[in-house]
Amino acid sequence: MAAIDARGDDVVLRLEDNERSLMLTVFTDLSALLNEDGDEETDRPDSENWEARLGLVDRPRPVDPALLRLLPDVDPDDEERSAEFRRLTEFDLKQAKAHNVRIVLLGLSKGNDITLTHDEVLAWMKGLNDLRLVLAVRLGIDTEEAQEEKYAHREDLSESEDLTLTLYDFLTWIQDRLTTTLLSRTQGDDDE
Amino acid sequence: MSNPTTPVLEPEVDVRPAEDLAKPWKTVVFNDPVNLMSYVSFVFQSYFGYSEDKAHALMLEVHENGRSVVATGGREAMERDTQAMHEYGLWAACQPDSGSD
Repeated sequence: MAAIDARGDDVVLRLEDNERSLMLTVFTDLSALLNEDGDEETDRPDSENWEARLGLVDRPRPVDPALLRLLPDVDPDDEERSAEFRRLTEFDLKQAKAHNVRIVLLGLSKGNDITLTHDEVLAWMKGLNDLRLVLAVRLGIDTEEAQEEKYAHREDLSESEDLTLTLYDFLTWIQDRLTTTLLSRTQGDDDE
Repeated sequence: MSNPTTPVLEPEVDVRPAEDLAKPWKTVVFNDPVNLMSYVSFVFQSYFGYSEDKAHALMLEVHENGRSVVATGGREAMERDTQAMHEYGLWAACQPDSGSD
């Protein structure tokens, strides 16, 4: 069973072999989701797409609902403003998310005992949240009612859905523990 | 003698009516079943610098009312805040402040 403890300014995360290899797999998938739509004509990765970086080209609204959840409209009630905002900012948002995932993958590559600095913990919290958003879309959890329904009728889930839900719970636990560890630190500072 | 013209890159000018610039905008955060209460509270404290109590109250408002206006101001500032919320993975939008909230 995974464990998370504060050590000075760092946070130490201890994972079992199977937990670490599973996380490597799913974060690699998330990395692919965030990097996959390079420029089809030139076969350039998104990171080298300077027209996109400068906001010179329109960026299509994601068709995959999971990717759309990671890169939402700036105002769901205003299509035109959302398209303009996407053209100007989506590149940076996507790069920031991909960067967080790289930090998680780098940590996971170090072994089962992972020491994270404050900034690395932040990247992990954001990366875990993004991954949970994607898994929730895949599981059809879009409202709190839908979520309760999944847990209430677990026996009706397919084997792969059940495994995904178990993974989701595991990631939720890690994200919550990392968050409360940082929160207790700031609140501890206030008391001093 | 030629007089080469200096190439000029025309900056893209965003023409907005003056009243649009003055009009207050808001950053709204919506409820979603994925975001943890601890995490949402953390984001409001660390990004906006809100106190623990204020962050907690706003988080509960999102959770119970389905949405909360977490900041108001000029359009650019609210767009920046919304982009930041999206980077944290919160479901947020930047909207003109109609005064209905």
